[in-house]
Amino acid sequence: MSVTCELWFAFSWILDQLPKLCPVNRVTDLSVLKEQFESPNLRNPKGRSDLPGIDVFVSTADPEKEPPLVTANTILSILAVDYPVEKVACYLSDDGGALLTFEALAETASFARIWVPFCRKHNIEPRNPEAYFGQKRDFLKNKVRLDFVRERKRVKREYDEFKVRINSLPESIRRRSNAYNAHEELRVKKKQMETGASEPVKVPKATWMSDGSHWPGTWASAEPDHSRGDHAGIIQVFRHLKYHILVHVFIKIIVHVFSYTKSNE
Amino acid sequence: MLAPPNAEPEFGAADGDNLIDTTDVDIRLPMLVYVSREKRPAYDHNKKAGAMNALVRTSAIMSNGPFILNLDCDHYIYNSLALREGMCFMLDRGGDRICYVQFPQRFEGIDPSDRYANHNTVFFDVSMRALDGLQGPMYVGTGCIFRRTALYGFSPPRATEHRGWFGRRKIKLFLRKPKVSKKEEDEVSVQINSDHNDDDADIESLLLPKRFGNSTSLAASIPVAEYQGRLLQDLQGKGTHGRPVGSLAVPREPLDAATVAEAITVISCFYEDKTEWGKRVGWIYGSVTEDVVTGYRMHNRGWRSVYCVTKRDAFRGSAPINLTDRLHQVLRWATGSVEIFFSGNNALLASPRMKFLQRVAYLNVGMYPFTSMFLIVYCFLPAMSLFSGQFIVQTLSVTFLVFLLGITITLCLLALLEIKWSGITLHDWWRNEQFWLIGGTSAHAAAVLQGLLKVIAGVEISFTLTSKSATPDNEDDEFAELYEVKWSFLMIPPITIMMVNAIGIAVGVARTMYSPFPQWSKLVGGVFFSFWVLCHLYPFAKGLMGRRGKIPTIIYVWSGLLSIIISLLWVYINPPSGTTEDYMNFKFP
Repeated sequence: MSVTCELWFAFSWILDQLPKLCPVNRVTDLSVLKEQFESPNLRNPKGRSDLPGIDVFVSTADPEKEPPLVTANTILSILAVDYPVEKVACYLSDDGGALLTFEALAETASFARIWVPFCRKHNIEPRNPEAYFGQKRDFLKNKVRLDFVRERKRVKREYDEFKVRINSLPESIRRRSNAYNAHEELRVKKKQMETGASEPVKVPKATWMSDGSHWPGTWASAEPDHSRGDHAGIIQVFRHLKYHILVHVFIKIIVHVFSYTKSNE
Repeated sequence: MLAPPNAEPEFGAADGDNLIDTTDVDIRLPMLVYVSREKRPAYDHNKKAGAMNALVRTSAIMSNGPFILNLDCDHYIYNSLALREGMCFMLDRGGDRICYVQFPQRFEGIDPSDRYANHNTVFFDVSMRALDGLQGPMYVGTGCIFRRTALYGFSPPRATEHRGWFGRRKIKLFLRKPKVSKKEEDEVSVQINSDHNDDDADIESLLLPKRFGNSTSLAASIPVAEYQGRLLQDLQGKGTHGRPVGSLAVPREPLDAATVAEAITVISCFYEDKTEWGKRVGWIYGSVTEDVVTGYRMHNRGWRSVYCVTKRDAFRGSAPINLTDRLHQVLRWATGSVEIFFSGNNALLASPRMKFLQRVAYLNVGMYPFTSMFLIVYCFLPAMSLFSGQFIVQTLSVTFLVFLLGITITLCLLALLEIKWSGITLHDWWRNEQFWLIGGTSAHAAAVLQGLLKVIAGVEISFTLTSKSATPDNEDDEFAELYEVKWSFLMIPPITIMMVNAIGIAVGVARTMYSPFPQWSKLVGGVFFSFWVLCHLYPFAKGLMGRRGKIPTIIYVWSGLLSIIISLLWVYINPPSGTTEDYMNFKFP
């Protein structure tokens, strides 16, 4: 028994140690990269960036377990990254299909209008507002621009408001949906009275978007076609307009290809 | 409509209604897209791997960046230059063989003493950096810049085959032969449908719908991504042709509704039907630890990867800090490893393009949970020897002691070397060791059981069932979560080990004290090993106790008393066989 154990331990120890035989350390030189890809030359007279594009994928699955504020902060840190702007594209994959995540992202896109220029102007590190404002060290260190203090105060205030807006989102979505649903129910009843139909028509408890249309993803109360693991595909490109004005250019194409039974769950 | 940002910087104005003065500050923002793939009950959505593959396809159509950074939602960019650092490797000489650049995972919000080795520094600063000297580190699921073509399942432009014993014989392969096309000289803008994708481009294009599904824009985007991911022409290595300088300094095409509609069709749930997505292309399905498998497949094709440790952490994230979640995390990893061991991804079956030592490393990934079985035996052994009064070895000879001393010193030196080289602290190393034992006796063993049952009997069981205890909301305590204890099956083996060892020590001490010829050396030996086991389990015990100061001292007194009484009883009732008869006669006349 003991011998087997010893042998196995020796074996696993060898397995563990062998890969450690040739360690290396690497260092990067960012200035060379800059010189090679971002300095003006014959073929590229304007000195536009010649760096290849990077798509950043962020994955989230459940706004309950992964709070939207955390995701929003991650997105902000990506939007503010030091890389040619036109080469970066940020994709958030929401596997839960939750309106909460969607609206939190809309708020994030609008807050980024102020956060990202602030980061660029004052070389903020880290570019995650929660981490930045939570830092315990002296934030004035190495800062030389005179308007920094005033602008930091403003951005901080703006961030606090942003946080509160994110926190209030679940409540506001619920209230909005309730209002729309009540309205819808009234309308259906009225129609029923007019036509004189006797059988009660069930109005689905939908989750509504702020522009007064049904959210194509999952709903608060699981309805067919809108429950977890059963919803349409959604893609939304956020257009960064002026701060606080957000245009919902919403393209929803619901793909029904197969005849799918409504008897789920 | 929905245009991605302009190529030229846009500067803000100093007018009053802006909150900050943005004169001379670029106010453009990167493109931001919300994607939620279609899900239907009739289709397996393959969890995170499925979501990532959906993203790979949408992004191919919408922005088609030749490189992809993958982050978890709680993993943010801590160093804003991180992307540039990663690109340094990708665009450097030889960078065309790199499939991904992995950054170390760093965590914050962990208790200062790092009780459950959450930082995992030994893994991220020793093992991964060591792997970097071979073919490259493993992919750990987040904080990694991929080359898009590597994700698509293509082979690297050059690869080395390692044949013979220990991979000594090396054969260089040029998978993409350089083809000099006269067009290339004056091509400045990005060429769509250029056919220098692979040397057998015709076969590839025939296979495309079968491999990638039948989206034509997705198929068209593949050569573009390959072309854009190349090195510059003057940097090109043997066997590839680079792209001319300045070829990417062109504005991107604006998005239109048709593109977005196309992007929607590739995230529909049936798109992957009868394609190789999840099998050879993209993130690989069917494993709990899809990340390791995905990285393994790339290394298997001969790609290399790079570990990029930046002076200022590139990314930071949060980690589960309470014991139960941590154990479950370890269980998930270990289960994944066992799965890998019993699947076709076992490193023994790797292709000759994988280096020998890299193969050993991957083999280790698949094997390490099995050590737990022997570990458990070793944890009970000292206690058993104390109970029975016999030492692990029959006689303590000089040669044995010298041998033991030699081994111990070598191990210590190795550990010191690792610590010195990687810059981790002894504390980190010790915590890691402790958690290795805790995880080894609980989570790893459970994973092996799970895996074996699944493979041999086809029974799927899960140890992750937990009954959630109601936890009081305590906003004042930063680490309130740390003290949360949720009961789980995983906690049984370590508790048993602890009890048995504690009782064993007590028994041993009691017996030696009552015996007429106390063999103190034997006792010290036994107690030392037992104590050694208990030392490792200390964080576990502390975690089990819950909140600091909540357990009154009387509990400790009681438990101490109980164990002494039990051990005394043991000695009285079941007199150790090693002691002599006259001792018994003397005690009970």
